[in-house]
Amino acid sequence: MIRHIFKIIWNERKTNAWIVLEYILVFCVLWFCVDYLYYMGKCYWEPVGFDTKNTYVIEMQKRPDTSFNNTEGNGETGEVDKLALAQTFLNRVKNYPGVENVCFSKWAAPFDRSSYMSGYYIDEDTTHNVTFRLRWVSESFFDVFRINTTAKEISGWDTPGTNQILITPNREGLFGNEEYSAPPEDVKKLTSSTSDRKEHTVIGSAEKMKDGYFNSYFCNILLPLVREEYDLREMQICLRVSPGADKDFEERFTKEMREQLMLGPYFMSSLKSIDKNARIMNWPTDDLNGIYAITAFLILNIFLGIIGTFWYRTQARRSEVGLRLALGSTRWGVKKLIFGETLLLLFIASIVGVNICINIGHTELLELLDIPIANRIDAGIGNEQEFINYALAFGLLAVISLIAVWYPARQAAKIPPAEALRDE
Amino acid sequence: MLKQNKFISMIAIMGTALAIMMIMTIIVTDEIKEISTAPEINRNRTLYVNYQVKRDTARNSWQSGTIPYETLKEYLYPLKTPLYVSGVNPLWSNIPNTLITREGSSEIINAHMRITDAAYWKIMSFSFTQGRPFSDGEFQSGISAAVVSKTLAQQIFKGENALGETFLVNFKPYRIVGIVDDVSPVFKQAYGDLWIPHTTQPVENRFTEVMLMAESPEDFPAIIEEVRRMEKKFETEHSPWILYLKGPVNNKVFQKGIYGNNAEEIASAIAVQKRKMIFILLILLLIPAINLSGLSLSRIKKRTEEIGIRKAFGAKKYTILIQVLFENLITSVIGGVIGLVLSYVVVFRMRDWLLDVPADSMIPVNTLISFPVLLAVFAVCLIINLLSAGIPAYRASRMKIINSLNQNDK
Repeated sequence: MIRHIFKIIWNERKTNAWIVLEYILVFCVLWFCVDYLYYMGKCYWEPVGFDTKNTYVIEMQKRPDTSFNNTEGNGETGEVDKLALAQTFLNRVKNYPGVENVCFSKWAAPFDRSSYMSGYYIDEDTTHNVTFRLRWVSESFFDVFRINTTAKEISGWDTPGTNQILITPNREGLFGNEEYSAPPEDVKKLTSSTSDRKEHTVIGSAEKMKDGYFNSYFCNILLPLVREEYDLREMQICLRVSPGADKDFEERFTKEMREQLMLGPYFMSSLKSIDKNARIMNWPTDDLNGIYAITAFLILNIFLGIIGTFWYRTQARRSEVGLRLALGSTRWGVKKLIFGETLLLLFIASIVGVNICINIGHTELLELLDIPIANRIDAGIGNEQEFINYALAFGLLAVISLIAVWYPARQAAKIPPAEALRDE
Repeated sequence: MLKQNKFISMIAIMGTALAIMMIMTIIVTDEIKEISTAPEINRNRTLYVNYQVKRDTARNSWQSGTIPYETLKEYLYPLKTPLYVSGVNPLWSNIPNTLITREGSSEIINAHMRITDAAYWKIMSFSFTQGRPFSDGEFQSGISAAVVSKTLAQQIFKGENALGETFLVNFKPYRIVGIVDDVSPVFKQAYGDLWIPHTTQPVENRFTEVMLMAESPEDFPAIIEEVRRMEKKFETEHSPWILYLKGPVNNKVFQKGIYGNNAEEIASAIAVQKRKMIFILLILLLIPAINLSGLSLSRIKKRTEEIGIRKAFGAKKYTILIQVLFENLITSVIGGVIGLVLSYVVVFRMRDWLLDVPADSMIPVNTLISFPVLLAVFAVCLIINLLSAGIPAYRASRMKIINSLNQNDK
């Protein structure tokens, strides 16, 4: 059967060459689209380390008139009791119906663009200065973002002088960098590599964390945010509401709390859903839409190309098909022949295509063209990706081609043998 | 000829329309981003600086970001070559985050605030329905004067005459000196709900994107040269710190959002963008061309007899060539027109993605239909036509008469 189809393809080699060429081009472009989409999907569905469902972030600002004459621009007025204001703020927000908990943090809120990095030595080792991402958080941070830790007791971890911290591992579950790392449960002590050589006691670890859907898992250090640092303008303020209360929460809260949250020089400028905001800020909309557009374009083109070419071909081969039918071939047999022909063409093209793609993938060509590519090492993707790409690209093209060729094949199978034979 | 085989003609036209729709969408989007039209009438003769890098050569540390007002004041306002120098705060998000209220009222309106200077009004062309822009004198002495859009004035003062009235911007009182017609968010530098002077805002809010408007684009090299001299001046005044001001780049590069920490990085980023564009256009042209070419080949094969007869009666090679190409051109042009119309639909429906503007905003019509766009459509049609029908036409014209008459295509 396959040899027979090969013979048919060879007879029509001139038009088939065009189809194969188009298949190869489309296959190659689709390959990279699939590659990227698979990577994006994988990253998106992986846990980020925070439960951000039903969480919101409040942004506070300072009235310009209170700090205007201050040339430093840091807004220090001296008379404002920041701690007391923060406490009032906390009480008022917590008492709002539906709010489960509120937390303060610095450089710590999920999906925030700012970050703070610093170098540390792990345990007794002093040769490897490892950089970590630092997050200062209040106790309630763990409750707001539903972070489970191995620490026995979190409350009171901010007691001055104890320097207690929590750590989070990287993708491999280790704490450190490529050169030096240890399992998080074995790490007992961290020493800052800055001039003060401050020592921190590790009291436990939390799940791995990443800053955005498509970032890598970086090792974190969670430090207690001391009360002296409380400043409503500088801190990140996040809150969790109970599942039932999140309907129109943003609108309701801003409207009803606006007055109450005008505290000293501070006022609430916005309240945003963290989840919703993450989708806006952390989403490669342009890249994805570009890929969708290109994929749709390719699929439509292949569809038109296949339907057109095979329609001509079945017309040109009317008498041949008629003869087959007259000599006892079933209508299904004729259809099968045409379907087989399409798939075989696609298969030939895909073999050529896969060779091109794998070779291009190993060069820097894609970077030179600024084509969005998967960061495979970061996402923990190995060579199995190539098989997935092949299967998806081939499968997609096969489905489209079969749909496209279905109409011409039906036309061919409908040919009345007697009429077709009379054409001769 | 087209009617002879409706099904195939439809497919060919659809294929062409699809390709032209994609290409024209890209071109029209670019056109909207680049055209010099009110209020941004001087885009073609403006250079932009929106990023700076300060490097401490002694300690090897560096800071980067948008241009702080100090840099603008010390090193960019004194520039001699540009006609006007102006800085405006960048619009970071589509969500308005400035609180506007009226004294004594508890109602709060969120608005987009632009913080700028007096030269801004010279570079842009706003249409004032009432009042005037704030002056350089008001700017220099930090007087709280504001220009507001018609809609915002309406929202605050509900039909009362807003000119001369005072309202609160983030709880600081401002007096309205001018009211302008609303601006489409398509214009990234001009868009806003209210405009106030830099000098009335605290230092932490004074970050700008700088526009340098030249007499004509020929002055661009001289301006870039002068900016480099200013960097040298900074170096001598702030040693060991050195300063790099991105670009200044023209509107085309500015709109593409290219970043880099030195001149080489910018140049290579521009080259990469160019290659990417060419690559995408190539894919968009090549795949439909191969597609249509396959169809044309089949079509010509069916018509070999006709071509043979024409040749037997004395038609020249090039007559056949031109005939086939011309027949195909009709398909391309029909497809082209459909494609262009579709591309407008696409740009309009997907404006939030393509132009990064809110989905309910207006796109000025005069940015859509312009001579370069129409020229581009025709050029793309011609290219597709040549690519898709060139080879089949050439083969048809080369066929031996006897073979064509016998329908023997070997």
